[in-house]
Amino acid sequence: MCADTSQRLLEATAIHVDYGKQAALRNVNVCLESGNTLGLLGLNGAGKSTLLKVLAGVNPPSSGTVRINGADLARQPLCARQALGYAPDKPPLHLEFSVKEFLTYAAKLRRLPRNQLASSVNSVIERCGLGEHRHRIIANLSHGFQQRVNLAQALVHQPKVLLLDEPTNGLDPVQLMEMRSLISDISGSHATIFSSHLLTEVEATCNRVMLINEGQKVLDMPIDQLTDEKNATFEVVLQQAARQTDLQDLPGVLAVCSVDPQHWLITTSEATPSGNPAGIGDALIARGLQLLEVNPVKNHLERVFNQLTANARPVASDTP
Amino acid sequence: MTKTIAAHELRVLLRSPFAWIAAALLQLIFSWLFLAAVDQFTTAQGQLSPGAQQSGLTAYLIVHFIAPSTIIMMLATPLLCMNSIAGERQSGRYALLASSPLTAAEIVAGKFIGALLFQYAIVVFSVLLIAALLPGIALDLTHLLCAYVGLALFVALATAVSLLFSSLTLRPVLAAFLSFSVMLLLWLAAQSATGLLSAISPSSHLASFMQGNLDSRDLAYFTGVMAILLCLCTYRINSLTRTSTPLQAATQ
Repeated sequence: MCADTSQRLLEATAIHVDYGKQAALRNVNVCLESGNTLGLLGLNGAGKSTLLKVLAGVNPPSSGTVRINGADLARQPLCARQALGYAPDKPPLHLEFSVKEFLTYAAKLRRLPRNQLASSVNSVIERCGLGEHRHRIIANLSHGFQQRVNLAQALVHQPKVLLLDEPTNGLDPVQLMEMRSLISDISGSHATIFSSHLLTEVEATCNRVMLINEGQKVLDMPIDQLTDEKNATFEVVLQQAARQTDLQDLPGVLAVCSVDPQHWLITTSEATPSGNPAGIGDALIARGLQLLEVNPVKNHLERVFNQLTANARPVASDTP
Repeated sequence: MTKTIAAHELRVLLRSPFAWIAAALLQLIFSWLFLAAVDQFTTAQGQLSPGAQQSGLTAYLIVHFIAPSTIIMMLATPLLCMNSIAGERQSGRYALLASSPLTAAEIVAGKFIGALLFQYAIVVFSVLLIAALLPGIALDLTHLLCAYVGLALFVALATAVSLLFSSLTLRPVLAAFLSFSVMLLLWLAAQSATGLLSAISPSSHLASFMQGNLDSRDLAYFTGVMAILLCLCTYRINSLTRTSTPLQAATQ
């Protein structure tokens, strides 16, 4: 969630994608500021790639708006796409070209000025560790280097928003480490969304995590709050629907995530009175809410992932 | 930006083994047609008066070489253009264009010009066959030029048809088959029908070019139909990144 609206580099509001009668995405909101690296998690078919395609302007949403660097993707597509780099899960590479030729073409498509072409291409080649392979035909590169070329084409124009769809897919452990280090290096200067099946990858490279299940957002919070051992997360089930504001300002609460209006994940600091199940229960009752259940969730991403994907209930997504 | 996409499209074709094989086969067919036309003229030469021999060879070349070349190109163009959009969408490469700051018109114009330049290069090589006759034989160059303008316009029209069908499906072979079928139907319409069907058939408009008549109505037909087809293609490309419809979802 973005605190300051002026710093929002990417803002997607109420994204719905319907394929015929089937809903691929329902009411998904995303907001990203500079320096944010959002890890997008979800099972196969959850809607991660669909969301990234919508944010990249490759597929249109059935409803909802996407703003990139302040420009509406539907109304000012050229301006919005100028600030966007997208590396899809299926690399859009022209295999018959050399690395340098392909990246020069990608740079031209992003309307880089002619006098900056060569320096931008050389810079991204060095940045992505492709220096020794710049004149090699892409088809002859290993899968790991093809993924690097995919990343390089998304970075060549130094976009403010970077969308990476499973960039570590199919890499061996050494390539995985190299790609992780590369993404960590570049993410500081961009707003990045990084989708992956690998929870460890997201924990290592991202500072926020979003979980999508069956086309709906079920979790969106800073990863340090989720994984910090000084914090405690509770799954809370209420008798009646509650609003985020009812829970957000409880003492010691760091983050609140809606699974549905009666079902919440609340992260608190363990040092506060709300840092144990009894304490958070008392705080909720004192707020006038009727409590049905309080279950502690171990502060580990895998546990939260398993718990949230197991609870395939309808979700009310929070607004940015 | 159109220039960048056109140059890239041309380079993609020049690095494709399929395009080179197709170009080589087309040259073989053109050479065969050329030799057959010259051979038939040589056989019939004795029956022509000396004055009729200059226009006679030109007529033979147009009827037996250039006119059949249009039918050959009608078959070749859909095969050479089928990957332009359908292939890119099928392979996932289209994401690079769709996420770049480009207009649909720039994408369509670039792909159209790139594909057209490759085909014109093939046609230019067939012109060289006729040019080889010029040192020894006087030909009616105006008539030949007129016929080649017709061929060039016809190839451009076939490219626009192929590009439109390539944008409508994800399957390149289906796009090629549909393009060829539509072109063939329009071609045959002039043979069997009159009135409107004949008027919209490219073959009836091509005939006057082959007869050496540069009619503005025929020029307007080719440029007008081409513009309509490219506009439809642009609309389709635009719709791919605008609000989705059930039809679009089905084709994705």
